[in-house]
Amino acid sequence: VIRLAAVGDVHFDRHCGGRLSNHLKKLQGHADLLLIAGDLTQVGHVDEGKTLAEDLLKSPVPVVAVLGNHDFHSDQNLLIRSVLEDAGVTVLEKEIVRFEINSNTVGIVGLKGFGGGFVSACATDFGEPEMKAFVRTTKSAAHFVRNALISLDVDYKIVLMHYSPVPDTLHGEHRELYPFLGSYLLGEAIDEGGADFVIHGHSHLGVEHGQTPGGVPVRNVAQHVIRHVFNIYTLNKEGLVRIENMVPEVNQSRAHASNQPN
Amino acid sequence: VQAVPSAPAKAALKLSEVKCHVPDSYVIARIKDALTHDIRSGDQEIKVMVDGMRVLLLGEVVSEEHRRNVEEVVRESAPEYRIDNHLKVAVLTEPEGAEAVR
Repeated sequence: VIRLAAVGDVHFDRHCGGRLSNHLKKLQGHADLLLIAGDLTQVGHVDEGKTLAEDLLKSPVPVVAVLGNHDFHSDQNLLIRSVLEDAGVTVLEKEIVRFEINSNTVGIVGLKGFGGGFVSACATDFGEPEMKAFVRTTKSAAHFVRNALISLDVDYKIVLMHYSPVPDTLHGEHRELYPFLGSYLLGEAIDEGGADFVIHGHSHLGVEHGQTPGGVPVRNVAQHVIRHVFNIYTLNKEGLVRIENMVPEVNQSRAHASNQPN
Repeated sequence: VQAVPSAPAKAALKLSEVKCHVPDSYVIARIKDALTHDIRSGDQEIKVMVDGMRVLLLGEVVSEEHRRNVEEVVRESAPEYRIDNHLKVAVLTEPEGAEAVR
């Protein structure tokens, strides 16, 4: 069993010091990792990142984070990443990190992701260069997710991102906003690559629970949604069904040998 | 064609009365745009409503300072309006248990 604490959209400003750290001792003995699903800051200023980094120094478990759209607003995303890494946080952007937890290997595929919408109401890379650039950004993210998951040889494959890979967790948002909240391309990549669990944020008015069309559990952990300082999820290999048997044949040939249904 | 009776003559409108005629939707859009782009707020989640010359701010923010900053930005972007700030600072609680994911 592995235990994942997760939260997103903490939106720290300069005055939020202590907002998380006062609760982090709760993780001791209850979680193995803390995952943060982007929008770490309010306006993407490095001082906001420093305030959060100081809070996270008190985490008794390793912290893994991705950046969200807010963290890019002031063009200081690299500085924010740097101050978080100085505090021991692993920041992922189209990157993978591996852990060994209770004799289980865990791989976390992390990225911000991007929008585009969902089947029957999505943007396509057609027409103006601006629209092509928009959709191709998401396609690039999806390409990374698919290949990263296929390459991972671990007991548990986790995807941590900011944008949503499914519409399920967006219920409550204006439907007109869906294309700016996530993309089916990310969900498709998760199903094709094979994953055990997906964490995302970004949707403050959505709901917590969802799943990909292939059956991978998805949780929207935006703090506005979960209403807690974080939520904790336990994953047990015995209870999980990987979805490789649903992957189209063309992709099965690329699947890693370890990606067998449990 | 039947002639439409002409309205009785009115005194010239004062400036404050003219401002009342700015459609509420434009006022809301102007305020929300300021809240999004102003570095003091950077907030897209505040619910903004306009009732006459009154602006209502609803929702949750992360700190008391942020609550004050939002009000300041709104006051500057719509100085002719009175502001009713109903924003609350969200209180975070710890989860009582864990979800076993299936």
